[in-house]
Amino acid sequence: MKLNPFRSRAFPGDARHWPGLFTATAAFFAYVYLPILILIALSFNENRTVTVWTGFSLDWYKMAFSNRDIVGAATNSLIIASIASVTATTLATLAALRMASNDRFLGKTGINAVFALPITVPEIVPAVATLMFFASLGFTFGLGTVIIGHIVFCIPFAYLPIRARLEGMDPKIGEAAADLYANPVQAFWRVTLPQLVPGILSGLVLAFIISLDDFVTTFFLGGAGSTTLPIYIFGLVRTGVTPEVNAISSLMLLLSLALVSLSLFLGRDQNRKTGPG
Amino acid sequence: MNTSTQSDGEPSSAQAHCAVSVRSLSKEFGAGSNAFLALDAVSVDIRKNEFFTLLGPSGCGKTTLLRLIAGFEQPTSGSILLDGADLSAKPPYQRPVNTVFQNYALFPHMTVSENISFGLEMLGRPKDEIKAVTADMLRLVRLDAMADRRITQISGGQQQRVALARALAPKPKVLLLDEPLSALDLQLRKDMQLELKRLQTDTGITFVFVTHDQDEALTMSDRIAVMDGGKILQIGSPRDIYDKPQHRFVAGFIGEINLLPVEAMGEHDYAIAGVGTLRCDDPSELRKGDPAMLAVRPERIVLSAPSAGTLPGVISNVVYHGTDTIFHFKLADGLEMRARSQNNTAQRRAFAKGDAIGWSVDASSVSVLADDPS
Repeated sequence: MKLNPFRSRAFPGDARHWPGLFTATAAFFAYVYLPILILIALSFNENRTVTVWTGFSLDWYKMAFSNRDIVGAATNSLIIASIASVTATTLATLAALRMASNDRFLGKTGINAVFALPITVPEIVPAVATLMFFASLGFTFGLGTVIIGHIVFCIPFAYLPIRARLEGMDPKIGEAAADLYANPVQAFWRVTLPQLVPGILSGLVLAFIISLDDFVTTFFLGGAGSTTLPIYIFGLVRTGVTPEVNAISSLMLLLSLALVSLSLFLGRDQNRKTGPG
Repeated sequence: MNTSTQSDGEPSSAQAHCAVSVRSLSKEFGAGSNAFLALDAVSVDIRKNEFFTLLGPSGCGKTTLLRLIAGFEQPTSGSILLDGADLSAKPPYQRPVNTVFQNYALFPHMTVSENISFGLEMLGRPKDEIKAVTADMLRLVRLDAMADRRITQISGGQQQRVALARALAPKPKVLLLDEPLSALDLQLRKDMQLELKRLQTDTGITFVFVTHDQDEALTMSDRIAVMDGGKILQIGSPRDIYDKPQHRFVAGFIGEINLLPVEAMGEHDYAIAGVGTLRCDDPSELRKGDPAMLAVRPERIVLSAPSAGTLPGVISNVVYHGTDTIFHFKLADGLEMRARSQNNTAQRRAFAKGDAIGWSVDASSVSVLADDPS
């Protein structure tokens, strides 16, 4: 009896047995993550010279927190990311609910395609276009314009996980709610929304991180008093990297990791598929 | 031909014992050249407290009819009366009707008891009533121990019972069941058939049950409506439907049957060309010489040695099935028939291939198919 050759261990095309696979994988992960790990390590370095390790210290974190410019930039970043991600996620949820309904309307396919477009378009294009648009309207550049710009590019990032979640939901569940005397408003709050929560959280976290991380749009649409952390760090780098930058970067990384973990944690149970079979 | 038991001419008396009255209901999906008539002017009266089954192959319109009663679809024409009141303008959440869905459609983010109490909460019932009814329902479907489990933590059979309890809790006037047993394995399905019948008797609620499974329909129903091509072909008790099919489709869909092309001889007699005559108890409106089609169940045919009073045939095949044996035999005109004989000691017949036999059928076991005489 012959075994299926594709299942046999000796099959030469099997990617699991390519020579050097382990080394290549290790090298890849080292390339991606080693700089980040070094940055975190150096943020605890006592010595001012970035490349010389002399001892452990939390001085740079203390300095970062007592630097009013850094605290102001961090506050701006959090304000912009919070408002932009919450607004974008709300709009994206409404859009996804409408787009996931069964009926057809003129341009539905087109609208669906356009939703994801901002992800593929180079960010500089909408940034410059929005800059000229706001300028022609005579807007004052500052936190407001940055927030509007961020909302726009956050929408597709919030939309995609919510839409995916909606598509995975049993359409009969909405009928079951209506059958059990829930009017459309009750059905939404009691049945649809609770099931959508994992998707909404993923969208929210993704939008928040994308906004927190943004440089291009913020740079073009910003003005006096709208300096965010990425803009501030960029400014510091030009005058020379200090371990303070390492400390702030480490904190941003920590925040992002915490948010992603939170969204995974909150969504873990409900992601399991239900129903018979 | 719709054989409703109450005619449209006497609506007042009909509606008195009617839970649901469907009046020439049609439903068309799509438009233009893609239009599909899922339900074609169907009329049926479903009585109070009855276990009523819509039986037919997939695409026959049975689920569409159920969804129209629930309000998930809007009819193209016709009306639905519930206890005499027109439902047409009401959305699903205002209809005193609940549904058990094919795949249950339970709320995955709620516990078993939260699922069951949902309908009562939406109706705004008092808290203590909701608690009491939910506890009753959990007992009724024997899930007391599972009350606080999540839907993902219970088995398919248990999910099925939660779906039932959830739909029964608001005490609907009519319970609609859309092939609720199809996802269960055979043994569980058999158990649930008995359980459903028990629940229907205990609660006294009218059940409208949709299935394509003839066994399910025969064992559980008070009455069955057999559907095909968007029409109801025949309505009757399981016995009527099985013993006296009026349509070739009904005859063929439920169980095995022999079809005999014949010529009407008189009110009760039919001639099989070159073989002899068969008698049927039911009077027909056919005139002498009209072609007709008779239907006879294989187990109603009695085989014996050729003798006076029997019709001739020759055994062409014998198939042993354990509990019974199927004898295939040919008539003089070449038509092959099947007779099913139980393998008990009293009835055992030892015929072999090539034997000349005599066969007979009691006049009460012969039905004349009304629809196509060809």
